[in-house]
Amino acid sequence: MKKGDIAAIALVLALALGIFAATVFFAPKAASVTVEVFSSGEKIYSAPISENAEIPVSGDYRCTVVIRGGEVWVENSDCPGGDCMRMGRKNRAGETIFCLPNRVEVRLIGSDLDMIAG
Amino acid sequence: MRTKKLALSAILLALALALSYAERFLPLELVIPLPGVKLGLANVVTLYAIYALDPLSALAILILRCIMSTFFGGSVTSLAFSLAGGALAFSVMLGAKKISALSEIGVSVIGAAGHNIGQIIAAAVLMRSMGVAAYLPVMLVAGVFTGVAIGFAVQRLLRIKV
Repeated sequence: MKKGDIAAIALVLALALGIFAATVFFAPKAASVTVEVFSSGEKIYSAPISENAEIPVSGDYRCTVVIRGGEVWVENSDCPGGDCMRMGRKNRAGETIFCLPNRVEVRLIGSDLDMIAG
Repeated sequence: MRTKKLALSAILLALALALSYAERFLPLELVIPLPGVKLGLANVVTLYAIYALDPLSALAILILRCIMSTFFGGSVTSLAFSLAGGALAFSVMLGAKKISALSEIGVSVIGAAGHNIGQIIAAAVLMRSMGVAAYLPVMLVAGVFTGVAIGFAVQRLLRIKV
């Protein structure tokens, strides 16, 4: 082990910490959260999280995005793996649910962010 | 000499294939819910090949491993991940090897970080979203551990004359 090795390890850890800090501290603290559902990169749904909804998604596989009681989750997915269902219920701005095999993404967006973006 | 190099390359390719197959049984999805994302254990072969053979042979082994591992039940997604991760790991390790202050361990740690960043870039392109970057910190930290282990192993392996 050389001195440069320690520096390399420190550099990678600092990068990890930096990205982590960026995702935590710069996450918008929004009073209201908008849910956006994307299928293969295309937006198929966008509404406040307070609105209950069941959005059927049919890409390569079928699943249902459920919005109820201020929480969002994925149900009845026939994708291999089912990681999207295991990601659980989300309710904060900046959180996301992914289904990689089905190319589905659920984004929780804070309204503050929309104001900045104009 | 050419025969010896060919035989060694073939053994390394077989080893890399076995490692990337074995890696599929690690339940990494429990921490990072992106199926196809890997720790990069097969990087041990790339690193060893860069030192013991030459960059071109290492690259050939890497590309063949990625393509051939899809024959063992890999998906297009996992091919994209392993190619993106492997290619970035290879490039940064080749560069890092030129830095004299770094031993095999440092080069390996940088390679592991490159592997993880490459996979996240592939996932970001696939999902058309930067949101997947949120998984990068935990992957980078895990990469330091695999990187040190792999670097240590390669350091020991290189002492054996083939």
